[in-house]
Amino acid sequence: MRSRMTAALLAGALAATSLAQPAGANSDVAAALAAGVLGAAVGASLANHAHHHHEHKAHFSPAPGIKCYDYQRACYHDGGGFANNWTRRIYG
Amino acid sequence: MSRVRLALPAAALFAAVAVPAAAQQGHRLTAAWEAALSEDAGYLEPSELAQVNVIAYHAAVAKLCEGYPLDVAEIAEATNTVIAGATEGLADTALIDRHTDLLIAIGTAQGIFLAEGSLNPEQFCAEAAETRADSEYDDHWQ
Repeated sequence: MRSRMTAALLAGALAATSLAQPAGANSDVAAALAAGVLGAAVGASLANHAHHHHEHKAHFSPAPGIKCYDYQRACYHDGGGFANNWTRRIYG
Repeated sequence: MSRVRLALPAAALFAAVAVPAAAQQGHRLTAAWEAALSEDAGYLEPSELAQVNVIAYHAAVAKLCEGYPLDVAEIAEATNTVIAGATEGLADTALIDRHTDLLIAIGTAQGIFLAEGSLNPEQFCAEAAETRADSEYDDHWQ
């Protein structure tokens, strides 16, 4: 299990899909892709959120220079990229 | 099957190049995340989704930035922890389906982070250096 997951990340996680599923699960993969694959894993955490599109873009700033996006459960540097440690601090 | 596997990175890359500048917030590819995230179904706790982001981000940095090889043991443990939590109580086909969903989710997130980093490589790697230098949290690079 561990070696499989590690190999998946190192080689490209997408390739792991073919390792982790039987041939008969292709339709499930296709369904997940069609539905919004990350959303298939997003979880009950979002179930209580209002389902309005504009809220997906909502963000807040826990500190100067940092923006956090609840919908993604991720924080970013203002004007920059993903803020790993702020993400862990706020959502971890 | 190969068509299915190719569709995902193609979609992520298309989103990366097709999104208008106005749709970006910083380097975040808002349109890509909006397209990838869905509320139709789900099962991850907030911290687990955050961990998916963290895992995918580390993998993307390892691919785009010199000197950031993944710590294989740590990233595997983090991944397995998320999968164990999300698959708790499941068996048989349901277990396989959720496991598959999670692998796709991590791959999708990694693809978007790769796109974000590829569009802004210098800052992407500089921010990775800041992440590594922050002693408050252990990172998952060697």
